[in-house]
Amino acid sequence: MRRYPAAMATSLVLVPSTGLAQQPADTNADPIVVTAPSDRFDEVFIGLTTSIDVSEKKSEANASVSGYTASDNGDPSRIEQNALMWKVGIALPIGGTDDVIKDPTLDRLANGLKLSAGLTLMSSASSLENYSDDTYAKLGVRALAACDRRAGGDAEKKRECDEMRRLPIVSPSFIRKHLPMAMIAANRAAGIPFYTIGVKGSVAFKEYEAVDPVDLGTNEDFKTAYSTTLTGVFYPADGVSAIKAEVEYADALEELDETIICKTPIGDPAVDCKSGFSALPEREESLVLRGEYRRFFPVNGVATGVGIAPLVSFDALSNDLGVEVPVYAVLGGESPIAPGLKFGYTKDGSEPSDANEEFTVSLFLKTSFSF
Amino acid sequence: MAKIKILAEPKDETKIGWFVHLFSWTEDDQKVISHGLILSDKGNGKFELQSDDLDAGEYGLHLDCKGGGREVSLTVKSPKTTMIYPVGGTWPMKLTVPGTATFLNDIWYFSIQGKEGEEG
Repeated sequence: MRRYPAAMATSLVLVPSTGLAQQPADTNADPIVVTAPSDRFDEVFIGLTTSIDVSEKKSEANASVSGYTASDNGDPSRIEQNALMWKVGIALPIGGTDDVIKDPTLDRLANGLKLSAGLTLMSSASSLENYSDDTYAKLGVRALAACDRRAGGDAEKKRECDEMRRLPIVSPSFIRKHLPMAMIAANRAAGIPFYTIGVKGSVAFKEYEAVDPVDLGTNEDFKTAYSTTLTGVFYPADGVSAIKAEVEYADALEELDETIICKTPIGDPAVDCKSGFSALPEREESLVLRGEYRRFFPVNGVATGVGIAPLVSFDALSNDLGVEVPVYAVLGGESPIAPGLKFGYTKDGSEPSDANEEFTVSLFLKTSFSF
Repeated sequence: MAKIKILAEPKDETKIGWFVHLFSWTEDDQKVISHGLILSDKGNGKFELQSDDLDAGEYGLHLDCKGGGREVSLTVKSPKTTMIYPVGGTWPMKLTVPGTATFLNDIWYFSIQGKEGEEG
């Protein structure tokens, strides 16, 4: 069971930009809520990659080696590709961790040396045949009409309209340029959904300490924790949404809160008391199911708009529940701010009543929305 | 007759998540005709796509990039081409999928004169 505040709480937190690795700002008070989208979906880098991640929760250096194999097949008009990517990584803590803000990623292995290995299959396809779709053809006609209207008497602009009119397929960029609000409709007509399936295993090592109240000495124990994650992401043909499902099993260690431990009787508190952990952490299993939907609502093309990324997490072993709804304003261009709001809700499954519910509202100033 | 050679330069230097189609069309009913491309790895993150011998005429080049952040540039290296769309465009043509999208596609049109030569 995880620890929650003793009573229902509502908080409003103002979060600044977090700098270095452009980690998303995040201040959820409970570990069951995952962080902002930009670090939720795996990016693929091939070869050796290193990075330093600094957030309000942790500071760690990462290094990974990755590679891939990819096979293409199909006729020239429709090509299908299955790519298998592998990745082996190491993460080293380089700074202290914040005990006030719980790790919002539910990553129990986050605070020590961590080794991980993963495989991801990406299956995608592309086709010319979809451009013969009636809907796409109608959008092309509308884009051509819009081009004519914009061109007016400008011969050079009119030439662009006329050239495209005689070609067999109206280019997607032509539709995006002259009919920006039809971008999603054009995607749905001509695009093909794709998906990724990934499996990842991690093991973490850390030395834990506990203060003995008898003599204020320190007991130390070196422990390991494990997790295995299976993730599937489906990308619909609209080009602006993604659906993710994930199952994570972890056998990890649950640290107690740091406290003041004193010998009895207390003579001089400065001598007879010490801050630390009253006991070594206990093992705890979790089986977390997560479902997430990401959607970008473009206002004018894909440069500006609003992004949402609601996420539900449920631990099937403890019945803990977490819901997070981040809303991002994407201002585009060189805007110095990328503001957003995140609404969070958590509930401790071990409590039958609503005594251990928590609501949070986070306001962040510069966290980009991305898939 | 000439083989069309296209240089593809993906930013992540992999062949993952991008697709190229070369096509022409019939004059009467504009029926699209796909032409096969053979992909070869040229090293340093560059790939070449080569068609069979094709007649002089007009062609379309379709690029489809999957995944936010993916970026690929295409250059028709030979034979010499004249860009039809975008009007006044020059190679390379590039697609960058913004972080707010999951894929991006485009079609560029060009003509070849049938005489082998390197694009300047």
